[in-house]
Amino acid sequence: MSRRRGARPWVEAGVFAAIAALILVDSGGYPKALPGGGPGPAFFPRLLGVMLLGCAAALVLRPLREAAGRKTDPKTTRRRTGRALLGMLWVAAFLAGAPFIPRLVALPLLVGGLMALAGERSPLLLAAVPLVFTALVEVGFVTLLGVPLP
Amino acid sequence: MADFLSGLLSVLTPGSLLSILAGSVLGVFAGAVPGLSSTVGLALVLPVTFALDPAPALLMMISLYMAAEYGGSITAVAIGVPGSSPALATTFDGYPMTRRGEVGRALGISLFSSMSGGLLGTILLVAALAPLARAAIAFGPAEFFGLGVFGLAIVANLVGKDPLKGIVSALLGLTAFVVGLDVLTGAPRLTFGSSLLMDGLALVPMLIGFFAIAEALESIASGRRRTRRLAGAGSGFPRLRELLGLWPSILRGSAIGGLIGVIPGAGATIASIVAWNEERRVAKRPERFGQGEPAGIAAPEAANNACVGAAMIPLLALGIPGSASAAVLLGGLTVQGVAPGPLLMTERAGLVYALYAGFFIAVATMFAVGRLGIPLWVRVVAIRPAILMPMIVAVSLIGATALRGNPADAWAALFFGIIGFALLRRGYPLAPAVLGLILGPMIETNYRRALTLSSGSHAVFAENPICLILLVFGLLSFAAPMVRNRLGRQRATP
Repeated sequence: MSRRRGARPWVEAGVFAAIAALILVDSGGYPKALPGGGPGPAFFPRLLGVMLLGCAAALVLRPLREAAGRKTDPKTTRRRTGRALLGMLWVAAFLAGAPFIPRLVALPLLVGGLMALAGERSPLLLAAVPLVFTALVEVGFVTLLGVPLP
Repeated sequence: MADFLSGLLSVLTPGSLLSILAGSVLGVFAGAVPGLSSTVGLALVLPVTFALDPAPALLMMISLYMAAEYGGSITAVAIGVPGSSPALATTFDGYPMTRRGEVGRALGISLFSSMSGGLLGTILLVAALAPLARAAIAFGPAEFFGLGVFGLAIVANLVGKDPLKGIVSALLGLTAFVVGLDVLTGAPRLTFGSSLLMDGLALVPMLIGFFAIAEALESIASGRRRTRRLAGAGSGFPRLRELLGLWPSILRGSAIGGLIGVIPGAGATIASIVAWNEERRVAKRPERFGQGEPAGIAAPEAANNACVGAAMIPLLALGIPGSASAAVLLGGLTVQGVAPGPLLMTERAGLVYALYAGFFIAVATMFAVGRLGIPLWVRVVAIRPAILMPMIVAVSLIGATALRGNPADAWAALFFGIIGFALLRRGYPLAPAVLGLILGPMIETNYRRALTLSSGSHAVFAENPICLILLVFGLLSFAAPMVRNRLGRQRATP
């Protein structure tokens, strides 16, 4: 089964329309004009909001392109998106844990975990690469360049 | 001349030379590995440059930018896959030469042409920067508004395959700029009462998130694998006589690269394709192109390296980054407290002359690194993304945190990485968004200043010839995708 050719981008158009609406609502409270008569802080965000709304509408209304209907196996798409989501969660967990776990422990875990998610299966590489990388970061950033790391 | 010699002397220090060498090695690496690029490479070294003085920091970034343009050709020649998009045209004749067993010859031609193109692009930079900066000193708010709109419109339309998506990306970048305090009145905008958002969204975490983390996430998600290796790349380097015989192609390619490189958004990819096409057009035997014709490597490689020096002209003279790589370079300048624009030549003349001299040394270093390392660079092609990309994510997070010692910047980089990943997945180019964040202040502030000075009359933009020309060209850029598609069709039938 393949993805429907040229499916209209409702979701992204909806997200852009929501951002535009947020801008328009929020900018309603800004001053409209400067005391000297020039355009105030509201002008530019309102213009952006209207243009973004127009682009969202154009995305949905324009003729569908052949190129937009690139065939993709939905299973592959789900697997790839899932892997990326897990990667994002792993990075977020690293950032959340960074204040509590020493860098020399957290960094190899981050790199090793992402390697495993990316499909690396060699136990030797999964162990060695993160350790060598952490050592290089310590030598390169901290010792040679003196960059303060968290 | 005395200023140039003084700049040269300031570059001939161990720190600056080491920075150029490191930038060149990293640049060839970033260019050669598919999935990386000069932009990703520059985003990754940004954290390293925090610890350096302005001259060595900028020289490292410039040499990386230059070397990455050559690095892309290694993969293009060796396995027929461009390491980065500007090397696309090099695959047309480079890979057929490899299949004939002439990989060393093809890489030699590519390296020599890259060096020559880089040299000619640098000469163009030296010749054009000062006059342009002098002309721009007379610019008022209307001209700067026109310049900002022109730069953003042309990038939004030329980058990526779909102009509408480029425009949406630019609008999102402009929206990101609005977050924070209004520059003219101090009124909070899109902060939703959060004190964290009062300072606005920082550029460097956005650059790192968009160009390093998003690309790495994309690569991790797709699980791309490369295991192809190539032997014998170090042998068969062409003789000097053969290389010198390619001068007409190199000169034509460099001229095209220099001209196109100055235009924001056009960039090295378009320049190299146009150069290849032009070379085929003027050739006595055009049927040889696409079959392993040396001139088909020389012209595009000279063009994409000439673009590097040319792209620095609008960046340094006007503060307009014409490409994603130039935008990251602008981030590097900002971090170092260097404000590009018309006054740069007068306020930081020493630094500018050091950059001129550094460019020449960077070109020579690129040649040395490329020549000595050909057997090594061909092996780089075989590095698996599963090993490389996690390290890129880790360096990105470390770099974002190290910028101000603030862990919130690492979270911001991850946030932008996720947004960038989602945009990439849906086919939205990221460069216009970054350009929107960078050019937003120039566009809005000068628009409002011009209107205030003209008592609210929009005629000020039409009455100002430079502004009018720039706005018209910005509008005309909407026709550029049609021209590009036509070129693409021509390319598809070599």
